[in-house]
Amino acid sequence: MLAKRITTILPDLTFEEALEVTKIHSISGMTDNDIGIITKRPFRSPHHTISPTSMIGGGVIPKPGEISLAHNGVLFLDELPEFNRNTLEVLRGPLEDRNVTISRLYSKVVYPANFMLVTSMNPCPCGYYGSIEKECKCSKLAIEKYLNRISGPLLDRIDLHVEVKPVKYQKLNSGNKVESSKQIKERVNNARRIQYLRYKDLNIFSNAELTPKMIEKYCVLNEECKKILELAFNKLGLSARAYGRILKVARTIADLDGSNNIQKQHLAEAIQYRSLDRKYGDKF
Amino acid sequence: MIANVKTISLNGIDGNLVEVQTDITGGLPTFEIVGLPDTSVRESKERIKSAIKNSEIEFASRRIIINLAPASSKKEGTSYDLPIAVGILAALNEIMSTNLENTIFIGELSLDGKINRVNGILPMCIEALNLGIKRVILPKGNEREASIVKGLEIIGVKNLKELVKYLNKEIEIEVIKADILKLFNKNYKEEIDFSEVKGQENVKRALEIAAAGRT
Amino acid sequence: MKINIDDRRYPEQLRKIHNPPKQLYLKGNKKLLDTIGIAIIGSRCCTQYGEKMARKFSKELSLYGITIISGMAKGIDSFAHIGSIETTGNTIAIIPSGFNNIYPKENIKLYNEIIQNNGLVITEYDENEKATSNRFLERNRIVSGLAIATLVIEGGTRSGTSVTAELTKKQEKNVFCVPSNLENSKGITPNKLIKEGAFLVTEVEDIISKYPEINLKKIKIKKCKDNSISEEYKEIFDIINNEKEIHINDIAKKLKLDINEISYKLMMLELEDKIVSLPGNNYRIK
Repeated sequence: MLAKRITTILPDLTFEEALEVTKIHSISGMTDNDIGIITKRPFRSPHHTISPTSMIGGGVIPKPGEISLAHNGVLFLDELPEFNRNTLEVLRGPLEDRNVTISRLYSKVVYPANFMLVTSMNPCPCGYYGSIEKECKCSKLAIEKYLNRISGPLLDRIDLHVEVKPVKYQKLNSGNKVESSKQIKERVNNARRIQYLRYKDLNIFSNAELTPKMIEKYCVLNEECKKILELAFNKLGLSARAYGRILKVARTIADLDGSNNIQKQHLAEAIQYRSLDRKYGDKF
Repeated sequence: MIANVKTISLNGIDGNLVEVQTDITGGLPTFEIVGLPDTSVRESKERIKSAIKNSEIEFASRRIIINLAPASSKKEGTSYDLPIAVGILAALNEIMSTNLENTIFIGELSLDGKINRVNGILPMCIEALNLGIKRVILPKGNEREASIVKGLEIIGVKNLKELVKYLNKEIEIEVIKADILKLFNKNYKEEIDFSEVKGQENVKRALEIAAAGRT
Repeated sequence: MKINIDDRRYPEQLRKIHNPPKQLYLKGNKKLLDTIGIAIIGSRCCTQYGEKMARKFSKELSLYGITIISGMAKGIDSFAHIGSIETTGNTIAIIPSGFNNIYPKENIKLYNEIIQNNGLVITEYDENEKATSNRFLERNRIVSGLAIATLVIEGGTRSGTSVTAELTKKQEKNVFCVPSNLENSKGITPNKLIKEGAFLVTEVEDIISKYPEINLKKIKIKKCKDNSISEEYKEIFDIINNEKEIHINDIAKKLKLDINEISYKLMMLELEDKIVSLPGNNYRIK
């Protein structure tokens, strides 16, 4: 599974981050007495039957939820449309605030929840929409119903969409050279360093945290890029809400490339990752 | 006789100092806990009584009042068992109360006097350090986790009997020390790697961008 | 513009049917009334297969210079119009409401596109009339009435599609059907029609060959002008050009290029209208 491997290309935890992760796991009684401190980025993949309370935390004696256990790591939701809609709606706040506040009778409790949300879903109920190998038998209505289980505002908060092709057997055996996590991680670390230096006076660390004001300042487009973006919006039916996401992703791609400015190749690639907007058009 | 024992409560991921005040007087035998204890804290009475009795300490029926200060915030969980028991024993002069200064007690009791591990030790110890506390006495099962907080004397105890002997300076307990940097830098071995996934280049690229742009 | 039934511009085909509309309101290219048209009809909630077939046959018929007539509903109707527009063919949409109440609302964009691309939109209702359920059926008689034949793509049981097919038969015109998988619930109508004697269509020539009297000639496809593609993207374009459909990773493998480079070039080609991206990260040339 690809999602599980994301933690292997994320930068190593700093000591402060590790301490925060260990703290949360300590409260949940999930620390291993032999290890002491948790140095590995957490990867949480709760089952889709999870309740809203276990997702964000709370309960009679308040406990951190999955989103806090995934703090400084990855929260992976497999088969997103299968999740209870309420469970997904409660994610919206924490995704913006990077923490979660649980109000109680006598007090309120704040748990950190700065996680990377990774989710997967089928393109339609039968799973073959868009497949070359097999015909999809779902009607448009059925597909619409399936997608409607996820709210637009939640999908809006997802920066990158990518369609995964089922792996065929012969492909598994092909002798292509494949990059190791270490090689990818090196590039990731370089890009992070660039961002860290750029934002060091702003109290943020990464492109994902840019506010609309900051986007204006740090994601400047040249004339050629502006034209491309305008063309893309008219042609591909992107929603206006995609604008900031595209610029942030383009900024990251430029950082991976070690480029000071966003160039057309960075922008064009960023637009590629709005496939849900394009595929399902106005729905989102 | 009044005894004061310190412990730490949890609010979110932060610890707060709580003082366990014990007053034992003559009169009709009762055992009251005040200061907004919830059910799990109120239940500790039974555990404490049994644990003390089963640790070969005489526990005469007296009038016992416990106050968890500050009395305005809600107290939850089982980690108050140990500080309350220590408070009672101190008030009964079973342990030297001079030895309770600058010490935090955390732990859950079994009926037989064993001290069980509790959750949230790390944030509690961090708060203890911030408060300038010197020593934390906690369940043996939590000592490693606590030891990553530098500058605290971490004492892990197995049962109430051992604790009483330690506090009365009849025995010594070794202080747990951990080399935190060594622990932190110990390279864990990743069992999974991207090189195991053939093909799917476009997905890998998207994941790389995601990793590069998000903390 | 409004034309009455006694107007000489009123289409002859339509006047001949059992209950022709008293008047027609037109928007767009009126000349299309004199062209030869074939109706493409089908389910509003079609499957991916239906969508493909509607586009395919609409395109191929357009290449023979035939006007595509449909009802501008969701599903097959929309894809029939789109297929025609994409090949710069002629298309007529007949709507079940007045021009001020386009139905369904989602298709207002399509409505504008049809008019912009020299198409024609027709209704028999006054501009402020709303779409009602019996008007869908009334509309269908114009769809089949204007056309010389009807091509049925997908439809469930007791659908408007089967009604239109019946109307076509009553008007003594041919019904053509694209067959469907037996397990496809939207395949019931076309399969049933075939059983009852409609023509089974596997390629567009099956339709064309039935009308030797109308001298239809396939218009040469204006091949994508290869010279307009800049050197930078040529390599990728050629690979896509050689395949029917190709996945992004397979392009990368063939060219031995990094995925980020492929990804960006594909987007540029798509924006320049040279290629089309299909669901699942697959691409084909436009």
